[in-house]
Amino acid sequence: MRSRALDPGLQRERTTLAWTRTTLGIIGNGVLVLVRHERAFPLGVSAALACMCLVVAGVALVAGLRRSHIEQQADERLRAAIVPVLALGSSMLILASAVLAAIVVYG
Amino acid sequence: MTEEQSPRNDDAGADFDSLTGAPLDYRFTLANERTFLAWMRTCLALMAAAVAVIQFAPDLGSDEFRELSGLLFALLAVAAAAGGLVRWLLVQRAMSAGHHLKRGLLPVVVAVGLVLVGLALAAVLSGELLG
Repeated sequence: MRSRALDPGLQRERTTLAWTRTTLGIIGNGVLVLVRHERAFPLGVSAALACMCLVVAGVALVAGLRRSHIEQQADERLRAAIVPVLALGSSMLILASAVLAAIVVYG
Repeated sequence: MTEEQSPRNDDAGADFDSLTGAPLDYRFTLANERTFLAWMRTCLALMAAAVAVIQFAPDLGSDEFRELSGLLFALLAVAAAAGGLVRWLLVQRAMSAGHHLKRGLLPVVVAVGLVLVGLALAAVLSGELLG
């Protein structure tokens, strides 16, 4: 184990905070699609997009929590986060495609 | 508990510098991860812009203009998600192989797209203000 004082720039902490920030951003997008306005998507579409945001936020939360072990990990045992990155990246791609599809169909 | 004590070499190829055989500096791995997450947040911001221009700006220019700018924002969001993921993979691989990092196309695509939609928005807004 290595003390935090030897981690220049607090890399581990900044990385877990970046996961947290990203999770919050997904939740914010989920709330945004739920706000109703005169020119809103049909209710079912908004609800479906919000549900997708909730699922992606869950993926980011779990991935970030699984990744938070790096805060205590020794340098030489630290590995690339292949599973968390692939999980979040692919689910974000699906979410962005769904928003694109909603705009094409109902925009 | 012997399993915990033995060195983990199940995915050893991913995090070692192939030239020196030394472990890759963990700071580079984490920096790459944060860059990936920054692209994900860029994607989120672009999605929010797409939804906002479609849903919350009914009087902005014509319907076609709103739909077109919303479409462009959403396309850029898809590009940011896909590009951010691919770039993380390529950078991680290049760092492990000891190669130089190549400049990606993604920032150029997003920047050009945003400049285009920004200019169009400025034109529409100034037209409404002056006309």
